[in-house]
This record gives sequence, C-alpha cells and structure tokens, in this order.
Amino acid sequence: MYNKLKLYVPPALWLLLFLLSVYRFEWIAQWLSFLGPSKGALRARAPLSFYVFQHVRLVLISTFFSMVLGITLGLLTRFRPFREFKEPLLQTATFLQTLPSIAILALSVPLLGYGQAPVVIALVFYGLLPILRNIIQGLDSVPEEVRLSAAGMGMTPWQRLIDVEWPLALPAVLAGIKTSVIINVSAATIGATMGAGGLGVLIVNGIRTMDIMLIIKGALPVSLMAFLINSIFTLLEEQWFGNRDGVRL
Amino acid sequence: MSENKKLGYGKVGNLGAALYAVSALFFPYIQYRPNRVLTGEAYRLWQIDGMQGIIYCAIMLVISLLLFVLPHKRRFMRALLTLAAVFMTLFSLGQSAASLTSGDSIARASMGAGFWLSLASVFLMLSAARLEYVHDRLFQNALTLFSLSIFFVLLFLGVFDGLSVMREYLNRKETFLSQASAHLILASTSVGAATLLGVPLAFALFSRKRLERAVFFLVNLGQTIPTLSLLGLLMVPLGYLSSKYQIIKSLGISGVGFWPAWIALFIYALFPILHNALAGLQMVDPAVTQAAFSVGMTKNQVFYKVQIPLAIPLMISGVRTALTQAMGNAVLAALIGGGGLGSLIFLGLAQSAPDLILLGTLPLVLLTFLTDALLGRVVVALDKGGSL
Amino acid sequence: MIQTKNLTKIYNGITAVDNVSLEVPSGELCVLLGPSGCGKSTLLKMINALVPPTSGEIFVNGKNTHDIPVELLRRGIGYVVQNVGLFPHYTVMRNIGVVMKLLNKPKEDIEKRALFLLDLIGLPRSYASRYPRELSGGEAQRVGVARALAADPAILLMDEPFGSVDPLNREHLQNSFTEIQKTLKKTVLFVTHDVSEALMLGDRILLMQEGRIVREGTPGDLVFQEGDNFSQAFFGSEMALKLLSRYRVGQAYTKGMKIQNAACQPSRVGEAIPCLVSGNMPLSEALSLMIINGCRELAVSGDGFPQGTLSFESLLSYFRKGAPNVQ
Repeated sequence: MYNKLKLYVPPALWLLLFLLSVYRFEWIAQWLSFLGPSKGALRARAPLSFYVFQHVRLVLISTFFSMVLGITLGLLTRFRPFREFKEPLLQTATFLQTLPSIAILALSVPLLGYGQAPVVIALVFYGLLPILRNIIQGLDSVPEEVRLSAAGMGMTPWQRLIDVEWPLALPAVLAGIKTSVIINVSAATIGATMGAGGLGVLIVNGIRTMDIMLIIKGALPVSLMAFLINSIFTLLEEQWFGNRDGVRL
Repeated sequence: MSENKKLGYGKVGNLGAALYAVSALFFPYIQYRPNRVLTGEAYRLWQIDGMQGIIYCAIMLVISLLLFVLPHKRRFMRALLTLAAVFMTLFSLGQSAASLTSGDSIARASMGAGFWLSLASVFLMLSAARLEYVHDRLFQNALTLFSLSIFFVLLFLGVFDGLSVMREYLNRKETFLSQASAHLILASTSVGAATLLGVPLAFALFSRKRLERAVFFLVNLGQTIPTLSLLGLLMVPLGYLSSKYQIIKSLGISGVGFWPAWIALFIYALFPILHNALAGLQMVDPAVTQAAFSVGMTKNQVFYKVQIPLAIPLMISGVRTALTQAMGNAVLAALIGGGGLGSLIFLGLAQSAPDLILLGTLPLVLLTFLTDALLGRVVVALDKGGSL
Repeated sequence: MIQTKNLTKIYNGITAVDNVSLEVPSGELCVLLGPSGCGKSTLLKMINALVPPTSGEIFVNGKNTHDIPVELLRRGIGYVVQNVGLFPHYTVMRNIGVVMKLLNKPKEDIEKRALFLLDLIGLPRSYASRYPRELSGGEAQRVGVARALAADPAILLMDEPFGSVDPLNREHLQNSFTEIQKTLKKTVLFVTHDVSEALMLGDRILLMQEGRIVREGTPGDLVFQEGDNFSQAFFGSEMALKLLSRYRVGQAYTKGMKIQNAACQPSRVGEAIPCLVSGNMPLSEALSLMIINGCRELAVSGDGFPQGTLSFESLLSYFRKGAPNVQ
C-alpha cells in the first residue's frame, strides 16, 4: 500500500509546482526580484493561463492525431496487403526521427504557411514517428513461441492481435507515446516562431526584449509541464505493467 | 513456382514506381513566380518549355514502366533504373527551373508538390531496392552513396542554379558559408567538450550506485526540458552574472551571443553522452568481467582492457545522438544571437521568405543525415562484440 | 485418430517433409523422433494447419482437415510448444482457460476445469493467480500441458515440450505425463530429438530422416531389431539401457524369497540388511543399484515387506525374447 502511494508522489509534486508556476507567478517573481526589474512580464497582454491552455491544446490535439495515425499505421502492417510496408515504414520513421523537429516545423511553413494549423500538422507528423516505430518493433518482438501457441490454440488472426500481440506490445507503444508527447511539448515552444502561440511566445519575446522575467514566465511552466507528463507516464507504466512481463524496448 | 513469373518490385517499390509516374504527369512540378512578391503559377513537368519538359516526363514514364515490367529476378537492372530515377527527378527539376527563369534575374522558380512527391517515390523505390539486397550490405551502401553523389555532382555542376533556393544562396553566399560554418563549430565543439567531460565523469561515477542513480534521475529530467526553455533559463544566470561581475563580462560571456548557446548545447549534449557511457559500462556482461578477473587481471586491467572496450560502441552511439540533436538545437542559437543556420531560418520566417527558410533548412537536413549516417557506421564498425 | 496421406512440404525448393503417410490410432502416444531439421516439427505443424502442406492430405478423427475451418480444427487439438509459449500477460488461470474461452464456455466451468487441471499436473491451486514469470521452467511447462488439455481435446500435439527443462525436472515431467496419459488416453503425437525420451514415453516410435519416416515400431522393436546405419547411429549403442527406464521392477521380478547375492546395506545397528526396492522403481535404476552395490540380486518389497527378488539373470531373461509389450 505504502509502495503504491509512493508512486503518486512525483506526479503530485510536479503538478503542484506546475500549478504554482502558472497561478502564483507573482510569488516566484517576487522571490527572483534580485535579478532585476521586470519590464513586461507582470503586465502582459494575456494572463499566463491563456498561453498555458494554448500550449496544452496544441500538444493534446497533435498527440491525439499522432496516436491515431501511428497506431493505425502500425497495426495495418500486421495485415496481409500491407505487410511488405513494415520494413520501409520502420526505416523511414527511424530516418525521419533523426531530423530535428525544427527542420520539420520550418519546412512546413513554405509548404503550408504560418499559424496554428501548419504547426499542428508538423507536430502530428513528427510525433507519430516514435509511436509508429515503437508499435512496429513492439509487435515484432512478441516471442515466437507465444505467437505460435496462440495460433496453435485456434485464435483467429484478429484475436491473436487483440488478445495477445497488442497487450504484449502495449508497454512499447506507451513508451512511444511518452516520447511523442515530450517531443511535442518541446517542439510546440518552437512553434511560437511560426505563429502558433503557446508558452514559446513568452520565451521568444523575452529573449528578443532581453526580459529575463518574461523568459522565466514561459520557460518554467513549460519545463514543469514536461516533467509532469514524464512522471505521469512513469506512474502509468508502473501501474499497468509493473507486475507482469511485456515487451520493453 | 510463381517467384519466377512475378514482375517488378514488391508492393513497396511498385507503389513508388506508380507514384513516380503520377508525380511527373499530374502534379505541379515547379512553382513559378515572376518576382519574389507576386503569387506564382504552377507548372506540370510536361508543360515546361516545349519539347524539353515533354522529354523529361517521357523518360520518367519509361523508367516507371520498365520497373513494372522487368522480371522479378532482374534486381540489378532495377537498382540501376532506380538510380536513373533519382537522377531524372533532380535533373529535370534543375533544368526546368533554369529554362523557366533564364535571363530573368527577378523571376523565381521553386519546387512544387510534384517534385516532393517524386522525391518521396524515389525514396520508396530506393528502400525497396535496398530490401532486395538485404544480404549485401556493400551494395546497399553503394546505392545510398550513389544517390547522394548524384545530388552533389548535379549541385556542383550548377544544375540547380535556376532554383530560387540556389538564387538565394548565390545572393548570400558569404553569409551562408559563414553561418553554416558557425553552425558546425557551435554543434561540434560543444558536443566535443561534452564528450571530454562526460565520458571521464561516467568512468568516475561507475559502480557508485547512489551517485549513478542520482545522475540517471537528473539526466532523465534534463532530457525532458524543452530545448528552447533550457536556452532561455540559461540566459537568466549568465545575464545576471555578467551584469554583476565585470570579469565575466570581459570574458565575453553574457546573456546573449555565442556562449550561452554553446553552454546550452553543451549541457544538452551531456545528457545522452553520460547516459550511454554509464549504460555501456553497466551493460558489460558480469560473466565476462569475472572471466577477466579469473585469468588474473587486476582491477585496473579489467577496467581498461575489458569494460571500456566493450562499452565503447554504446558510448559512441551516445555521442551520435548528442551530435545529431545538437545539429538541430544549434538552430535555436540564432534566437539569442549565436549565429548558425538558424539565423537564415528565423530571418526567413520573419520576412515570410520561403526560399530563405529552405536555404537554412535543407542544408540542416543534409547535415543531420550525414552526421547520423557517418557516426552510425562508426558504431557498427566498432561494435565487434555485437553488444548493440 | 490422426492420419496423413502422402504428405509433402517443400520450402523454397527444399523438401522438408517427403511423402509421409502415417496413422496414429486413438489413445496411442506416438513419438516422432529424429535429428533437428529432419522435418518432424513441420509435419506436426501441418496437422494443426500452422503450415500449409504442399501436397497430400491429413485426416483428424476421420475428417479431412482441409474441410474444417482452421480455427475450429485447432481448438479441437491440444498443442504444446517448446519454451512453453505461455501468455506472459495472463495469469496461470487465464492461460489454462484460453481455449475454453475461445469456445465460449461459461466462466465457472473454466475455473473449475483449471483448478482440476492444476491438481492433475501436480501444482498447488494457489498458482492459479500467478503470472508466468513467477513460475520455474518446469512449472511453466506443466501449465503448458494443462493449457493444452483444458478443452479436453481428443488429440494432443507436443513439439519438444520438455526440451528446455533441466534433466532432473524433465524426468519428473516425463513421469507425471506418463501417469496423466495412462488415465486420459489421449491420441498424442509427440515430437522429440531425445532418444531416451522417445523410448521412455512412446507406445510407438516413428524415426524420421530428411523428411521421410525411415523406421517405425514399438520401443522394444527398435532396440531389439536391427536397423540401418542411420538408425543404429542415432539410437546409439546404449539404447538398451535407455529402454530399461520404461519398465518397472514389478514387471520383471520373481516372487518368493531366495536371496543369495542381494545387496546388503550396512544398517545402523551393524547388521546387514538386504537392499529393498519398490516394485515401482524403473529397471534402469535397479540395474544401477546392482552395479553400485556390486550385487546380482535385489529384494523387492510390497507393502513394506520383502515379496520377491529381482536378479540380474531374471532381468536378462525378461528381455530374452525381445522387449515385452507392457503398458
């Protein structure tokens, strides 16, 4: 019981800090006032929560589509007409993932223009790569004897996928989603330079005007958000897969 | 049985070949703008300059058709045809851009959706061709190398000079070259320094369980911080210190410029390097170290002759990750006046000049790809123990 | 009953199974024996349609498997693979119940059956809630057998089921499987490359080489009748010793006490007492005892009292006219 509760401590802590950094920024500003006076941080055009919500929305929407597309594509490679595409897809995803997110974001501008939609599309595309990669590798690494006995016991291909292969690949898929979300949180800040809004706006404006407090105002919540998400996924991994074997990458 | 009667590539390559034909026929290959400001008109490949475009288009169609009807066994012919397809995609782009804008220094021609599709289809065909030579690593690498050199040869021959990106390049040759080299210096020196610090640090930390766990925790957190956020947060103490102490300022360290960017990249590179060096040391099979002790090696000998050599491939792959990441992250340096390819990209974003964005991004993509591929080869070559 | 007619499988031009016709009558445990790569596993997999045959026909319980939907066919056949292949994300209970669930049996029935099977294979009922990774190799293997038996199939296909278990546990498993088979009387096709295992378990052995069945017969036939070079080399010259483990002291001893050369173990009081063995002991162990104790006779007990003797001579005469057919 105690051990179970202990798992909830890090996410709770990060959540608390995150909320503090959003709703009680004045405290932090006061505490850091020795850094010098803030030019615009405390009387910004919109409240901090506005940028936070913009950021969260950007990440949620793009992660959602990344998941849907990545998982669909990954599962499709298990079916006959698409099986041959598995290797090329995996190779392509691995290759594209080495490219920096900013390159994908920057390339979306000449192709799609400025604003939120192009950034979301770029994030969806970039974020689906780790998911796709992990689902393909996760399904591939289900042990041969498990596959064989599932077939040998008379499971239909569909039952095999749903009841055996998918649950065993799930830890890998979850790890892929985690990578994807964290990448998206980071890439979404860069999206600010392409007119997508979010917390990156504060950081970029802070850098441009040399306003240290404004930088902190944007950078602190976005870092804490990343920590929070990271710890939530760690919690989920422990809760769901802590006591059984699965395919881990 | 049916193996012998099958035609063409497998499904992947056939899809590529089909898309190749479609891209040449139906999609706008080139975007033409009379000048930098006016909105452009789209040209399909066969619409360009009388016979020229039609000939290119026809050649591409023939390649695609041949790929479909060649017997499945003729894989070498197919590999050659794929290389021809790579050539035609690039060559027809350059030639048609040149003929559209010839003699008109204001007019701009840039890549259209058709070209990008054609490039993607070529990529599909290449990966299918590589798949056909699955047991022949040498030939696979040769295929990649040949397609890359086709690109570079055409580039140096000036075939792409009619393209707007190249026009942009020729206009800003000096700036581009200096920014590109600044980019390389920024990324490589920070990663080099991180390697010099990180690897010995990992050795020192190794087998101190508590410290190791603390480091893994920190590294895990550090890798989670958004890069831009780290860069911004780093400006805070540096800016503060330089405003407070004259010595630091006189060293050239302040909140903006080269150094904060360098330090941010350095810290960011430290994470994967530390992580992999530690993981590499931990991964060495205890049976192997035991065997080394049992033949009479001293603790130091075991460390230097057994543990380090076995951990090196994973360490290098940490450097590979760090350098690939740094190539991308160095773009952000431009935001705080650190220079690099990012200055072109952000200038392009600010001026809505797509050509400028491309001029920054395309070399970046190429650089990242080359770094990753080269260091990847190094890792494979070093990995004699097969630990990866 | 399992029957194949002219079954052939060709992989990329290589003939894995070559025109095999065999028949396993109901209730028989038939062993497919052969070196690795001889096609025995492929033959097994063709029977439950995991591998499609290139040509030939398969009949299970008199029906051509070609006419039965694969899933239905497989649900009617128990299948045990090497390395067990338990589902790591299911408890032991769910693992055992998989096929029954596929057959839409009610939940109570599945649980009752699973507990019954745990008893049968000799694992405590508390294991029902464990996950496979909490089992030892031998225990996992037992659960694998239980899973195959769950839906009470008439036919069992076993592909080197005890191959990955250490020798001591393997012997345990083989013994308890023999016991189970005695009561359940399944039609079993059992693949192995282990001669001892084949001689110990099989009612009948089919020896395979390069995709063909080169010899067949009861374990006794194979040991006592001369075979070709391959078969002699494969069985090895100590095959008779391996055969001994099939038989029990109780089958070969002579009643009545005429102990002359019985092994004597020094007892604590200093008096020598004759070495007493139970009728259940395999003959191989009895022979081993004779060698260790340097004697030619052992006293055989029943209900704790000496009832007869097993002498080296009686052992020889038991096998004189070839191996007796004892179940």
